[in-house]
Parts: sequence; structure tokens; C-alpha cells
Amino acid sequence: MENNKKSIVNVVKDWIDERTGLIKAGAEFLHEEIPGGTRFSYTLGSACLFLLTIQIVTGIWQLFYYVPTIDYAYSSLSYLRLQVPWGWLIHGFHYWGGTLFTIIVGLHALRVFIWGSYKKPREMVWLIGIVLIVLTALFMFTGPVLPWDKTGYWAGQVGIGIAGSVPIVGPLTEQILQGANKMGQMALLRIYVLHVALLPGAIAVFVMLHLVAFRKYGESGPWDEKKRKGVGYFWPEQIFKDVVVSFLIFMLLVFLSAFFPAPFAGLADPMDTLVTPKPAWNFLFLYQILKFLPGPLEALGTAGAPLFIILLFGTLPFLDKSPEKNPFKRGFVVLTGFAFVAVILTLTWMGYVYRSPAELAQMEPPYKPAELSEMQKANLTDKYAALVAASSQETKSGKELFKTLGCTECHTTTGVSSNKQGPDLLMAKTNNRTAEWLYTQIISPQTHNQRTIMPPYAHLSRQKVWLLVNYIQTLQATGKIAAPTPPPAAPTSTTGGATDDKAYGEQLVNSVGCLQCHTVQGRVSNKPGPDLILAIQKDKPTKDWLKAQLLTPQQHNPMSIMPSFASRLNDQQLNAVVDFLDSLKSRKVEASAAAEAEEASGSAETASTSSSSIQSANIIGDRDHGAILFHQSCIMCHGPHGDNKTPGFTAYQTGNVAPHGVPALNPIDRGVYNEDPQLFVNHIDQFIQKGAPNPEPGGPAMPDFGQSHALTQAQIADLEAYVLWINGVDRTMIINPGMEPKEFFFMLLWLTSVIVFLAACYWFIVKLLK
Amino acid sequence: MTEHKHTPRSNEPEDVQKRNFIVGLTAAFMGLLTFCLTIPLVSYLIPSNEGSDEKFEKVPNFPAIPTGVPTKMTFESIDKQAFITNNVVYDIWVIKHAADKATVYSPLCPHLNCRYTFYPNKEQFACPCHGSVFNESGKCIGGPAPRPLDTLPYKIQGGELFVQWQLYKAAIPEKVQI
Repeated sequence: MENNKKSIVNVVKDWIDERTGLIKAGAEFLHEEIPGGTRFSYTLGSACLFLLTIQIVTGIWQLFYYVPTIDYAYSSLSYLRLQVPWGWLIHGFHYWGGTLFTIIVGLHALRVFIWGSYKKPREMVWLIGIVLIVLTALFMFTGPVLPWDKTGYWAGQVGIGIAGSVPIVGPLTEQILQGANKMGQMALLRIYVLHVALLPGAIAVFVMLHLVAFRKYGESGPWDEKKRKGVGYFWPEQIFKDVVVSFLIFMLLVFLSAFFPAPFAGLADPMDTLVTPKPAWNFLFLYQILKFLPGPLEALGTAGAPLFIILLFGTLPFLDKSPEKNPFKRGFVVLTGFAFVAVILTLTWMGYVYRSPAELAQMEPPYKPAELSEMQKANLTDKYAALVAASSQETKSGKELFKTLGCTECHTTTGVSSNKQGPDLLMAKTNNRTAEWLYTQIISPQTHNQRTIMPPYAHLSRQKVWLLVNYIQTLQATGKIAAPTPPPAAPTSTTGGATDDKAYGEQLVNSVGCLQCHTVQGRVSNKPGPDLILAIQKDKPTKDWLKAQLLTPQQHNPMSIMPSFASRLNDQQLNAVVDFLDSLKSRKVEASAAAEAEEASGSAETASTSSSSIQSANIIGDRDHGAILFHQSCIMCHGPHGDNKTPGFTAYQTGNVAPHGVPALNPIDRGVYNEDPQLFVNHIDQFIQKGAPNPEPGGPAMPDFGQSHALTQAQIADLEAYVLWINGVDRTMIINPGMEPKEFFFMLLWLTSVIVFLAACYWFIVKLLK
Repeated sequence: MTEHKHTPRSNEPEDVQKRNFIVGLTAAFMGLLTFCLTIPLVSYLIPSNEGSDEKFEKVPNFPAIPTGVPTKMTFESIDKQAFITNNVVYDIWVIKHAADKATVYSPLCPHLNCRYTFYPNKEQFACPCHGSVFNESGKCIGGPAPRPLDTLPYKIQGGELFVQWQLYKAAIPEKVQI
């Protein structure tokens, strides 16, 4: 008797199959037979497919928030990661998924290589696989650039540079990738289009071709004839193994996203020289190879290495033609393969641990002459004497070096003050500097004065530096300071005289070097000395005080680095300067009014109401980079950890007490502190952008790092992240997690254990009942 | 597609049971995977209702407008959506009753949020989309609008008008802030 009743499911299936053939094709697909049975070693291919699917889904999901412009890329991604529920998961999966995908693809290729599955008739599958590896590499090149953070920007810059150095096609490739004559918005857009449209399209096509080619002959199976007896089926056994492996990969992704979130590397900042550009980890081997190929050999690395690798892989099925699949009988080929892998891994490791000279210099503590012991000082003097004595190697004398190395650009040695940037070095003899001080001043002037504009001459050999030191000391010992230029003829009337003296005093202030450290504008600046209008109008010092300040600044403030002008100005000149400074008490500060008006109307500079999003308060900075910047820009006033209790400014070098009025940053004033990272940042941002006067006399003012562009917005954001961190507030705190990452992982772990446990119980009970 | 011969599968009850067990376990893992991915993927798309914390912004020229006549006025504010901050211009209808008293209407029709206009010849507000008509007190005297014109919170300080921009849900009789 025939049963004519079909279930609804079968009716629908037949209807679809009749019109498309899809159901039959699906059944064929599931019925794949695997010689020798299903194995876990065959699961790597579908693990690749699983990871690719994760990448596509999480990639598309990120497109709901990511903006591919240089002013919003970083902040849109920070928003996605911290303020969108489950954003940490979507981003974490994509970030770690990229790395895992690269690794699993490598393992899959290795497994196939060992099994000899590239041999006839499966060469096509292997060749398409090589295309897929290249596409994977291109994904890993374009992806990290999109956040437009420091690591990504430089990875892109270096990568495009490498592509550009390939002979013949290089320059055109570089132009097409950059879309402009430099790395910027156009480059970001093109890399974005590559990463989200062109490459996914290409990889989808090639994955399908790969699967079609694979299914023609199926899995090659065990090389041992004895193990090929039985047959396994794709559904359900191999699929089960594939799902187990994919599920473990999924758990690994959750674990990594929860416990090792992607770092916040701070906004891309081409002006920041403290970052060492490195490509993404999978290109480190190439980066390392290029170090061995300097100059004209570079092309061998940029073009040669990838080409060589692709050719090696591509010709493998045609070089190794024997039908033997047993790896133990293909020793030479298999060992060559392992050697190749070992070389790549070693080069990758070397690239990873490499530190550039700049990076090493950052890690060293700054030279602190105060800490030299007496014995060390004596040693230096001996060495100095010995080096000068052995100057036969150096053909130029110190005097010639002074001319040829560029010192004369900023310094004169005539004993007369000039209008060059730096002090006349003969007049400077009144500062009574030691040889060690001069040595440090030449190789690292910033050690003595953070904001000096004298560049460091650290590249000079010790001998050259000692020759210069010797020259300066000889000059100062023997040279005579010329009489200062006489003032212009004094007019007859007293009021006229006063005016003339004031005008002359102003002339002198502009020419003898006061402006190197002071401004006369009525606003805080980032120069080491106070603005003279602000200081004089605030403290209203007497003329006697002013004169004493010019003659012996240390009498008023023992820690002052202001040099004495006793030898640079004669008595009349001193009085003229004092007259001028005294007149500043009543000077109307138009400059500051103008500045205020500009602030009121423009409001482009203030962080709170700006429409540009590249404002430090809106950027989540990198606190580790902030620590380095803090060390460079902040410790001289705030101390090494922002702790006011430790010495700051020049006191940092001489070991005295902290300067007056400088607030501690750790712990920071409770009026400024806030456990909400954004509010906390808003409080401190205004100080770093606009500076602030010192409430106590004699202490250094806070420079306006933002307005004067002494620091970029990205750098300020990094500093803010660091200051928050030392106060126990995490700028990268997740605000809207959806579910806390670690909680989610443990919940997943628990649910998985429950399933496994129940399955085991079921299996045990079934066995028991037999 | 394949060129294999079709080896028939064993139908022994033990093998069938083993196969079913594996299918069940596969389904369980796939189910857990789907569950653990679907919830995040969907939650991620639902926007949070941040910020109706608009400030009171100054509306320039309030002392200069005529009394008793509905006047269209504009003011600048900052619109913040997620991570994007934009300078934006808002428009409002203001009827000045005295130097310290005014009525401020949202420019959006409470029916479906089109912008309406004042017609001085008729002394009425009329919306072009579906024909709602309102008198100067905001009462709907014709058309499908479900409630009177929405007033916006305002302050008059030192003779100057300050208004807080707000959005209200359309097409319902109650005035509910979005």
C-alpha cells in the first residue's frame, strides 16, 4: 500500500527542488564521503570559513557606527567600543578574529601541505588557496589603518611606503593607494573601500571557487592504505567535529575580547616622534627582512620576498610531482616546509622585539647632573683632559668646530650682546659654568631647560663636544668683554628723558635676550619665565627690587634659572630696563582684551563648544604614551608621578623642594577629580589647553600647551588618559557593556559545561540501559 | 557534484542512535552559538536614549520683536548625536506678550512633525502637509492634529529670551517628550 500523504515540510521541499534543484544539491553537499572516516585534523578548513563569517558579520555590524573620515574614525570607534551595548564584543571579535583567521589559515595550509593534498588532481584547490592567503594578508594590511590610531596610521604609512618602493609598479601603486600626495583622508577612504567592499567581494568569490574545486575530488584522506578502509560522512559526523572546533574558537574569541581587549592606541598624530612605526604582526617578518637589505637592495625585500614566497608556494604542486602522499616518505619537501615556517616565525619574533634607537632613548632616564657623585665628576674632568690632549685625531680645533657645526647661527663670542637667539658666550662667563654643565648643555640642553629652543647636539662624538667645551672655557678665561654700546644722547627735559630711557629700556629688553624666556603681552605663555606685564602688574615690585632681580635673580628665588645680567648691561642700561619694566605697571593690556574678544567670538579653540571633533577632550588617549609625554613635558613642575611632594622644575635637578603654587596631580584636587572619565577630562582639559597663572609669586605658570600648539590635541588626550589613570580613573572604561565582558565569558563557560555534562549523562545512561 | 560512489549508510539501531546523538549535540552547540551571538547583535543596534539634556540657549533679538504678533525666531545650539557634535540652528514661533512674558511654540506640527507657518491675513497657523490649522493660542481649530501646538520651556532673564529645544512624540493626544 502506498502512502500518498506527504508532510508539509516535504511538500515545500519538493516544490523548491522542482524549481531550483537546491534541495538535491544540498543533500549531495551533506552526503560527502570522506575516505578513512571523519577526523579533527580536517576541521581547519571549516574553521577558516567560520572565522571568515564572523569577520564579515562583525565587520558589517561595525559599519553601523564607524565613520571613515580622519576626524571621526577614532572617536566613532571609541564610541562603538565603550558606549554601544555589546560594542566591546563586536569589535573584540573583529580585532582578534583577524589575528586568529591569519593563524588558522596558516595552520590549514600547513595541514594540507603535510597530507600532500596539493598534489594531482587537487592542484587547483592549492593554487586558489594561495590567492586566499594573499587576500588574507591584504585584509590584515587594510584593517588596522581604519581606526586611524597611532599604530594603524603608521602601519598604513609604512605599508604604503613599502608598496611604493617596489620597482616599476611601486610609485603608481602608492599613488592609487594614497589618493593624494600624502597619507591622509583620501588614503583612509581608499583603504576603507578596499577593506569593506573590494576585498570581501574578492574573497567570497575565491572561497566559493576553492570549495567547488575541493568538492570535485573531496578530502584526500589518510596516506596509509590501512586507514582508508572505512568511509565517513560529512553529515553529521564531520560537521559535528567542525562545530566543536568552531565553538572552541568562538569561546577563545569571547575570552580574548573580555580579558585582552584591543588597546586604545591614541589618535593618529604624525607630529609625534615618540611612536615607533611598525606594521601589523603578520608583516613583521617582512619588516625584519628589510632591515637586512639597506639602500639599493631594498627592492629585493619589498618586491623580492613576497614574490619569492608566492612562487615557492605556487610551483610546489609542479615541482613535487610524485604521487607519494606519506610525509615520512617526502622528507626533503616536508622538512623544507618546516624550515620555511621556522624562518618566518623567527623573523616575526625578531621584528616584534626590535626597538629603534629613539625608543631606547625614551626608555633611558634623563641625564641628571645633580646625581653625579664627586668621584664621577672627577672622572669626567680627567677624561675631558685626556680627550683634549688626544685631539690630534680631530683635525679641526674647537674654534673651527664652533663655526662649522652651526653654533654661530645663534651665538656670538664677541663680548657684546647681539640680537641672535642665544646669549653671547663670552658675556655668559659670569654664569660660571663647569665643564660638565657645558657638556650637558651641548648634548642635551633640554636637561637644563625643558623649553629651550637650542637643539641637542647629541650626535656629536664625545671628542668634538669636549673640544667645543674647551674652546668656550678658553674663550671665557681669556676674552675681554667689550664695553657695552653707549645709550643715545639724553634729551634736555626730564619727562623726555624718562620717555627716552623707557624706550631705550624696551629696546634692550627686545635685544639682549630677555624675550627668550619672557613675554611682554599680558597673557600666559609657554616660555620658562613669567609674562612680564602679568607679573609686574600683579606683584608691583619696586624699582630696587627689579634692579636686584636683573643683577642677582637667585637672591629673590634660589631656584631661579634666570641668568644674571650684571655683565651684559652697564648701570645706565640697567636703569633704562628698570624704567621700562616699571612702566609696565600702568600699561593697558590691549593684547589680552583682543585675545578675549577673539575667544568670545571665535570659540574655535575652546574644548567645550567646538564643532571640530579633533579636540583632546573628545579623544580617548593612550595612557602609556601619555606616561612618556608626561615625563617629557610635565615632570619638571609636577614631579615624576605628578606627585607634588617630589621635586619639580629645576629643583628636580638640584634636589630641592617643589616649586610654589604647582598643584599635585596625584592625588589631584577633589574639585577637579571626577569618577566619570569624561567629566574628569573636561575639568583638566581647560588647564592644558589654555594654561593658568601661578597663584603664588615666583612659581612657574602653567603653559598653554594646546593654544600655543606646544602639544598636539592627540598628545594632550594621551596625557589626560595618563593623569586619569594615576588617579584611579580609566579613560577606556566601558560605559554601556550590555553585559560585562568577563561575566559573559563565565556565563558561556557555564552553559557549555552544562551541555557537555548533560550529554555525558545521556550517553552514560544509554550505555547503562543496554 | 562529487564523483564518489554512494556508500550506503548503516541503518543498525546502534549506529542510528549514535548518529542521532551527534546530531543532537551539534544542534545544542549551534543553538548556544546562535543564542550567544544573536542577543549581542540585536542589542547593539538599539540606540540608547541619551541626552534630552539640552541647555537653555539665548534667542537673539527678543526685545526687538513686536508684541502680540507670532514671530519666527532662530537660535544656535549644539546638536550631539553619539560621537558627532554639530552646530545647529533651531527655529521657533514666539508671541511676545510683555517684556517678561511670552509664548514659545515648537515649529513642528503635533500631527506628523511638518513645519507649519503663520498667516497674518488669517491670524492662524496652518500646516501644509495634512491641513491642520491652529489659532494664536495654539488650539487646533481644524485638521487632524491630535493636540494643540507644543510649547517649549523658556526663561526671560535680563530682558533676553532663553529657550530649551525639545522634541515631542507626534500623532498622539498627550505631549510626551522624546
